[in-house]
Amino acid sequence: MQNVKHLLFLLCWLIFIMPASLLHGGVGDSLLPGNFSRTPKQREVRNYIRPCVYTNFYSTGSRAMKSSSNSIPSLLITARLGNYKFITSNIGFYCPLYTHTSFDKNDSSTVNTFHLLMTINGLVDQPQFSGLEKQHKLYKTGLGLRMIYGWNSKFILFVDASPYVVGDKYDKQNTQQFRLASSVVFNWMINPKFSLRGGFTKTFLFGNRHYLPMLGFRIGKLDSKCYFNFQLPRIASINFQPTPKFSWSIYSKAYGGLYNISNTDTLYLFGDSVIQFGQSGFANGIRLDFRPGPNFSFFVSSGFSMRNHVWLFSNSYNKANHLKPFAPFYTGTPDPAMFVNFGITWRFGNAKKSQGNYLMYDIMDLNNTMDPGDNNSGPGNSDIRRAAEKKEMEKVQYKDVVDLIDDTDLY
Amino acid sequence: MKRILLILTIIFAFLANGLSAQTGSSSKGIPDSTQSATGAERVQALKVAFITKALNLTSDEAEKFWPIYNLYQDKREAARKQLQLDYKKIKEQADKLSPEEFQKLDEEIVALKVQDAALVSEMNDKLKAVLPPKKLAQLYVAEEDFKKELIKILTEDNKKPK
Repeated sequence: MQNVKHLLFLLCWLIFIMPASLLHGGVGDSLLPGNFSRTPKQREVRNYIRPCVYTNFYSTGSRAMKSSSNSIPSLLITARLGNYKFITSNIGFYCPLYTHTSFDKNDSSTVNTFHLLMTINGLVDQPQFSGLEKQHKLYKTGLGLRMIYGWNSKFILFVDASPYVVGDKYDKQNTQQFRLASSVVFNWMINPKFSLRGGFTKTFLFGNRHYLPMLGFRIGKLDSKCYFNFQLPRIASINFQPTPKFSWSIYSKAYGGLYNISNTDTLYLFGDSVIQFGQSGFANGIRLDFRPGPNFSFFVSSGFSMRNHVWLFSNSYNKANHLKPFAPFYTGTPDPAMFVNFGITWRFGNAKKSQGNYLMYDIMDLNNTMDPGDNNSGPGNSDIRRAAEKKEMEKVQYKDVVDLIDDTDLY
Repeated sequence: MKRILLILTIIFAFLANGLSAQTGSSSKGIPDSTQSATGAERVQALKVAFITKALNLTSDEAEKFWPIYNLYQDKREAARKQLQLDYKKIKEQADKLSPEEFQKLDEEIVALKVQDAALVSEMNDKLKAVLPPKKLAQLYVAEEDFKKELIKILTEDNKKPK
């Protein structure tokens, strides 16, 4: 009965709400008579960054949980939890709210850009312990803002605030908690082939509350056939782009998070109805990206998750820990396991031209790497097209250039 | 389930507003462009590669050149697309428009052509601080050569047996 209700709700949404919202955006003069003769005005595109929706699915195999300590309470909890498997899926979205382009006051040949974006994130995390009767379904939803300012053809300042709510579907009312992840990053593009990054982040990516420095560099152009990217503490990757439609990479990236879970399993014996579950690890693998066009891309990836940790924290014990990382009452180290990861990205609308503009590429890369919601599972760089080669001229069709060619060009 | 649908509804509401802000208004039946997204992107990428090679831009020159050039190309493209809409309207509604409406369209077409020339002049002034005079002059030659290259490809493609 519940499933039928959900299905009806989804159908109503698909039939009424989605088309209504799309049509409202597309037809400004829908109330005017059809024969009203007024030439619509073609407005200049305002934003450099296109709205983007992306989804991600990640799953590991089942593996043994090991205790990091030989204490009896720790061994008992390890025995209770049993084998461990982890599945997560998330949907993310960002959209420019305001973009301002201006010439620098001191140097009128330099273009500065300011971007204000809204971000939305929803995630479901399903840690599966073979020893527990009922598995927890943890969620995280948030709405955030980010500001990116590029200036002097070399520098970028990135500021992101991602407030979100975490909870356990097992006991939503008591487990819901507000958290805030945030980052400030300064990017210096020394030249298109080399970029440096530094900053600070408040993150829960490593299964606890951390205030961490961020350091990174990139060697190689973002639209070239190969570039190396190192962004501590998030990701290190070497990327190959043999064609504009296909790219692949070898990477090592951090994953994890901190969630509230209901203590109905009585994993903590000292009265807390809600405890906190933290997990982290490093996913090391190969990723294949397919980009049929500028609007759509998808990827598949697989490898091994290593240096995995699981922590359980007492809510009441850590209440006094205002800014420090939480102290766990249990630490587990699951064995390495194989993972599969795939995702889809859609980009919408038009954007201002940015090809050849390497600072804008750096802005896009920074925006895509620092994904909404502090999940480290971003949409990828499908908005940066690999540089064209001469042989691509042969694929040009008339309809792609009809706006560019005048009849006087034919003489 | 409800949470996911709420998130998707918010996303689509913003996308709908974002799309109308980004593409400009468009009345029913008149598409913004006949270009495919992939094709347009490919042509733009080819143009960048062509001009970079033709002007032999240094890294420092390219850093400043492309943001200015792209900015003015966007402005010129908006004017060009408005011109296409006006031409289309004249062609399709030749029997329905009044003399006053034709006059208004004439004035708009001329204003758009003047605007295009003004934008080229403004861009030229900005680029004087970025490129030496020789490369700036070569830019306009490179643009024409690129168009000729495209026409050559399209003409050869037309001649091939299908």
